[in-house]
Amino acid sequence: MGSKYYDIDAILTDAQKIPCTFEVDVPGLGYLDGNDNADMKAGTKLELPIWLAEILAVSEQLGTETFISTNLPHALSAPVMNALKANPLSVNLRDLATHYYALGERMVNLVEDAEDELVDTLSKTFTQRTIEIADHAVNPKGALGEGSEFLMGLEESERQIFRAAHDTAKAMKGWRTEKK
Amino acid sequence: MALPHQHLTPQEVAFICESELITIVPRQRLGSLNLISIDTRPLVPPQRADVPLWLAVFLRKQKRCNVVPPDWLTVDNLERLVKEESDSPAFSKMPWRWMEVAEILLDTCAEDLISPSEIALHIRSLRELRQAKIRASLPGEINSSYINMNNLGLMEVCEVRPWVGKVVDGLRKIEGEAGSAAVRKRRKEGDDDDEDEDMEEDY
Amino acid sequence: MDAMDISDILREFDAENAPSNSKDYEDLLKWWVNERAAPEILQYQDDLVERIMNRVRRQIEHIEDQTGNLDPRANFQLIIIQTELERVKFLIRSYLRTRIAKIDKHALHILSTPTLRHLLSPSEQTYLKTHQALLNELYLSSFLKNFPENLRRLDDSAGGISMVEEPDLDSAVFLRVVRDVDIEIAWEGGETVPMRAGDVYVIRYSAVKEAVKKGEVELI
Repeated sequence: MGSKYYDIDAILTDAQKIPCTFEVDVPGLGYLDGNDNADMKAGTKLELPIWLAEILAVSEQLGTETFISTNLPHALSAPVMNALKANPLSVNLRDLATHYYALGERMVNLVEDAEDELVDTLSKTFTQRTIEIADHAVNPKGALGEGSEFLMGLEESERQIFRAAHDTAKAMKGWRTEKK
Repeated sequence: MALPHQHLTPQEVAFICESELITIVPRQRLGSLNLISIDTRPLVPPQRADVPLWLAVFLRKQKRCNVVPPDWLTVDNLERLVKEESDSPAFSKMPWRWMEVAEILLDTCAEDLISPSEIALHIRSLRELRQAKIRASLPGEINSSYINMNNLGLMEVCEVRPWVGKVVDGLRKIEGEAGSAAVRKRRKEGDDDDEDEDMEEDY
Repeated sequence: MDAMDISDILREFDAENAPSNSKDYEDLLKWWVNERAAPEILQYQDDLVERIMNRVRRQIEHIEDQTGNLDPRANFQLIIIQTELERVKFLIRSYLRTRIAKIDKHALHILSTPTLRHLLSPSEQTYLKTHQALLNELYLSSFLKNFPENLRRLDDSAGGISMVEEPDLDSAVFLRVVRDVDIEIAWEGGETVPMRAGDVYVIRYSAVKEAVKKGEVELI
């Protein structure tokens, strides 16, 4: 596995927020919920960045309980998954999360009931969308052409794939014309 | 020079191709040469000789030789290949460097080919047919484990490599260890059921 | 002496002369492409580069000797020799620069792993050490010195994330099979992929790492 320390995409993935529920009272932590100097009450629902949620979800207090439990964010919820299954190309992933698949990857490890079906849907979505993306990159249809809405909705790793495919197609064209 | 951490550029793929030997018919004498990559024999017209493609191109530009095109680069053979390519869903077996060789020869010594414009046309058809096939077959082929790309030429591989590599890496990360088992299971089921039926169940 | 014998002798003559140079050049092409495609740094091709560099030096001397020769035929030969020299120089330069780029990218990882350090040529090792020393000095004087002492490390792995960048050995590579080889793939429960000469595959680098080193497959 490559290191992620200096990886900007990994850092931005870490900053994405997910819904969390506090399982215990935490003295003095109320400021996270906008209540300065107050305690965090058990049962409070709050959106926390992944880097923080991860630490709180795995730290065990008094042996059995964790500080918080995590839930799937809207981006990975059943309605979105159903929309992706129906037509992966119709969903604007960027509006859901800029690092959509990386978010999914992290949540699979964090939320227990996520697992198989989520992974399956994400992997099918990714495959179908990226092939469409490469197609657009190699055969550009113009900024206002068909599919421009789809391209606006690409999340970050998809944009990188678009760029890779586009750059290669451009390099090929460059080679073929420079000889002439 | 391309940045060294990047994939091979089309120019570099062509550079590799220019190191391959090709047969020429010299028009002028040329003594043997002790080159770094090869010791060439004396060129004596009209005896055929094999030289690296870059040298053939160089001599051809100065009208000091004629290039003998490879067997497969003829109108008849290409016509057959185009037909084969459009009749069969599989990729026809093309030489490993077919695109580079064809491009370079059409570009530098078209006059040594018989009906070069027809050849160029067939090469373009082949390229378009195969590109369409790549596009059609990839959705079923791409996975995080391994993909067979037999019969694609080097230039064709290099054309899809940057983004296909990213997709394979991305899938591996999405699927993780547990996921690849799930996908394997699905693949197994897919052998029994039709893929479409599989999809319908999901709705 | 009959015709068979003559062609045999000619063939032997060929084997002695032409192929060894060609073989070296082909090998350099192969290792250049391997190095470009592999996510990790590969063994430096010491003897190979040395042999080719010797020929490069001889060729440069030859060109210097012949410059000023007014015979047009010799002049024309010189142009060919020079053209080829430039091609070989490009190849060696790109090979070395590709390695330098990897050394820069994974500097601390290579420095701290003796088996990787041994893959570098002596001058690459010197480059790695001096370059890292200079960088450390720069980082220290420009910002690290303002940090508390326990936060100044560049190879920390606190918080579960190592600061040392390593190559992703599972990243996908494209390859062409040179000799038949069976590749075992760990992530499919040890399934074996029979790869046959001429086949083209996309697969994780970790599965074919050894096959690349043995020359059974070539990366592309």
